[in-house]
Amino acid sequence: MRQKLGSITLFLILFMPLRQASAQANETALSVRLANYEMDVKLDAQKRLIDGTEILTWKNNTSHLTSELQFHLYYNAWLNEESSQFQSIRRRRSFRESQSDYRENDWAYNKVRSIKILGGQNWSEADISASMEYIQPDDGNKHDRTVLRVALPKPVAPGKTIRVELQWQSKVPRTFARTGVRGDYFFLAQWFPKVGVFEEDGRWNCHQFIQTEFYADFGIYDVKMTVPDGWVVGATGKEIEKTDNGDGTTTHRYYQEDVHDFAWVTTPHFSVQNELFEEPGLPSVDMRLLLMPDHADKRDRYFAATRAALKYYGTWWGAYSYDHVTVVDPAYKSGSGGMEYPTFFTGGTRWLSPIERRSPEGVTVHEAGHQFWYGILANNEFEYAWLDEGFNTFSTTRTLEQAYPNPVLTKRYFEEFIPVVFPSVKVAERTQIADLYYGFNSMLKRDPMSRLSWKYGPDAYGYNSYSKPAMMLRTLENYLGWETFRRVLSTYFERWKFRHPKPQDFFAIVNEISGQDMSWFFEQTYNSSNVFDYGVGQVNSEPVNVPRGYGEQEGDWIYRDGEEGDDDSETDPEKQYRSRVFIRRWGEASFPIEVKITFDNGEDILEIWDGKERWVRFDYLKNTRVQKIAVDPENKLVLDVNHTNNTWVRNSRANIAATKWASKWLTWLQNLMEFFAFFS
Amino acid sequence: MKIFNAISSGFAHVIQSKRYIFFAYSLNLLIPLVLGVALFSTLSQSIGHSLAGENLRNGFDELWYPGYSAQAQGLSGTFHPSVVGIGAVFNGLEKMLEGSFLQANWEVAGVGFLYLLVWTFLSAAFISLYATPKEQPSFFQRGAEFFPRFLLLGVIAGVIYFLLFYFVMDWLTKAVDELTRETIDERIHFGYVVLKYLVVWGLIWTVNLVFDYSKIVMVVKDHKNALSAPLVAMRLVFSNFGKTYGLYLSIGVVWIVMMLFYWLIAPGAGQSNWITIFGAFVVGQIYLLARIATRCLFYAGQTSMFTAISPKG
Repeated sequence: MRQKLGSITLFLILFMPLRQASAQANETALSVRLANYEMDVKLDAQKRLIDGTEILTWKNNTSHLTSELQFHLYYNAWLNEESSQFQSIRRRRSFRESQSDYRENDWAYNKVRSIKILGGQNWSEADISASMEYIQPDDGNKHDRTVLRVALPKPVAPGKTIRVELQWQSKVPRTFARTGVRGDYFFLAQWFPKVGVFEEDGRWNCHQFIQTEFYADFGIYDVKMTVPDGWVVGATGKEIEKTDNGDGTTTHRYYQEDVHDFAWVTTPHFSVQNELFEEPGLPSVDMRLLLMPDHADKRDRYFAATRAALKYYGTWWGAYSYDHVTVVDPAYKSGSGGMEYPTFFTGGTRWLSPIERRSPEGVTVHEAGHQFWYGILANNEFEYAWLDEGFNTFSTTRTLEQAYPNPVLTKRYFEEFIPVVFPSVKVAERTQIADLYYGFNSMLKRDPMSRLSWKYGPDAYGYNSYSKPAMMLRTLENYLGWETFRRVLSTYFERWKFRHPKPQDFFAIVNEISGQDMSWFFEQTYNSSNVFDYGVGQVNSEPVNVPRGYGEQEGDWIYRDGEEGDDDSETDPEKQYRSRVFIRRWGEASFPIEVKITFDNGEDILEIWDGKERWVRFDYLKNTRVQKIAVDPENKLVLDVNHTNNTWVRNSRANIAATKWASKWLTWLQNLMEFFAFFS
Repeated sequence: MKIFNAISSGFAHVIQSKRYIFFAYSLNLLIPLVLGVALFSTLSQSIGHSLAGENLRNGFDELWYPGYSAQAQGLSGTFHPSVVGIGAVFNGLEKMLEGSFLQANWEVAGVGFLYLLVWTFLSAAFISLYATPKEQPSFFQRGAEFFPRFLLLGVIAGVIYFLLFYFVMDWLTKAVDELTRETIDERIHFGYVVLKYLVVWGLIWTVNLVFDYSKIVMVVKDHKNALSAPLVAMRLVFSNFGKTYGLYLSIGVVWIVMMLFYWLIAPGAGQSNWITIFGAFVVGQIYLLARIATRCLFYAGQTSMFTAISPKG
């Protein structure tokens, strides 16, 4: 006997077909709803199988006809070793190690059993399963089955809608790319046949699943998930119905409008926690936390971090657009941590994790932040991953600086179980450490950011999607000033929310709001892989002596040996010093640079250099010597790959600093030797 | 002889041998000093006339280090800010527990092996001194007399340690991986890992214990055969298991307490002048001296225990 357990929160939606609901809701829709799904799926936890029925209501919003539909079948990336994903990443050591342990039940697939057109709106019901074929638009690898094309009996005209029903089965992988199963913890993302995006130019944007993230149209998701009784379910959207099927299973129904993806999680181990986010000037948000037992003490920290993201992102860029968010504390080693889906994201922490490790704080702020950069501003991650990852890394750092300032070194010992905090060792925020990319083989030179993300070469994806754009934005903030930059980003957010912005859309808003043509900046940071490196060159600050050689005196030329007046150079207050300072541009890229020169008497001079030539020289004639030079003293150009050469001090502290740290290193080595001696 | 009496007797011997312990400590300082000077030079060169010098003097420079580490190779690459505080101990302890010494930089590993040889010599001298505390022969003559036998003994022990790390540890690691393949609670995995280390290190401690007594057998009984000495020692250890193992673990506890105390007082990165820098260094050196004295306490206490429990004649 079916027994209704849950309360019905969206009465109208429950009792009318989705099409009618969406038609009414469209009046207040936040997005243009092009891809709408009704799904009914059942998880067989033992066999790790999902059987699903999916009704897709898809609208052609372009001015072109299309005679086909294209679907992502992401799970086929783990179908076998011949998929493009496997071919692409098999050279990575970590992957080879994990792959060597792959067993029969660890592989995955997404098999569409049938697809048929549903009648209505000028469409006759028809089974079009026979026209299904796998295509490989990116690399031509015929073994890759991550994109499915279905030919239609007639084209979908501009502005018209088609409804199709798919019967499919997904075999859930051992967690890979943050989706899958470990034990009885299922995290299910990219798990259903998802329609690609039909672009304005009349082409399908439906890339193979190789190394990037995702891209989809907005729509409504109405999903029924059947799982074993007693299992907790979390998902995109809100639970609107829960039904005990009387056969040991329960069906959970989740509903969400104006989102472009749907993920869910289920396990019997979660404890469900709830809190309300409230901040003056921002709409309140119901926060639901699904917490694993070994992280029970992290409850408040998860909520605090989510609050920080909602508060700072909301205040700086624009308010969160939904009234709820679900935070998932991923299971240990489930590989599903640190991932974002609309209204739903995974954090991640460890059993032992002191606050100084910022775990779960860092990842929670980041993934909650993705609700803005990705969830609401839904850029094409296949092609412009940096538009969400870079913006979000930048915003995460800014939020962490406010909410969790002054990070210090922490390190995990003994198979990474035991964390140790080093409170006296400060560490850099992510947007400060371009120095990590110093050198001729700088990672920043591997690809320009402008290359499409799915085309990035080995290892370039991470740097170009996260670190470099975050540092680029930080540099831009420093150049334009916080208030202007905040207006740039909030305008961009407001103008492009629930749409798919492209890089040029952002660049245009930068120019518009700043009132400047910033193309010189983006040309170097976005279109080029050149690096920035300014540094102090030669410095000379010597007393002015009588010049050696012949000089004119009383109408005659007299020889002078140059030693006159040199006796009391340190003490004579009238003594003049000629100082000459060279500042050099070692990198290929250029940027306006400030140079601060400090003299012995405490006087500071701030020079401005356009930074275009290879070097600039500053000369001074003063009764004091140069004591200190700082190129870019406020560290505005965080993209500078070598900050150490940005400063010069006459009285170097290198010896005492090196002695201090070498002595500590020596103590470490002595201790290490003592461990060797254990085996004597 | 009770364990406490063995420790007490051993402690008295250690006190009497303090000048040799200080000598051993000075080797612990001098042998790696050449590498310390090389690292000083590298750091000094990297800092140059930059403001990083001032920042590193006052604490740490988080902008200097990423650039340094990006360029550092070989010995320079072994520098990491976690050498401060308890990190100076844990970084090595971790390598010891995992048996990953050989993954260290080659200069560091080389110095480690040299030190291992030095202690093969020193352990001979110390055990001989504790077994027969007379003026003659001299400390160094004692070391020289037993060094060849101890070296052979060390090779045999080394092979066993290698087998334990390479096969037993490896096998247990795979077993734990298999057992926890579907585990979603970190505490359970942690429990298995602790169990793994207890098993491996239980074996290693036992081997270490047997070879400690093997050395004592060679010195006290003038046993010349390095192959049979461990068998003699094994019989002795297992027939007096409570006493020998109890003594070993008791001194081990002293070692752990000492380490935890050092964790409390270990200086961080805050020193900014020559006096405080030197002070921090001295604190670390006192701990090292204490570690070396504790090793001698193992030898002295075990020698006393051996003298009390070994068959006479």
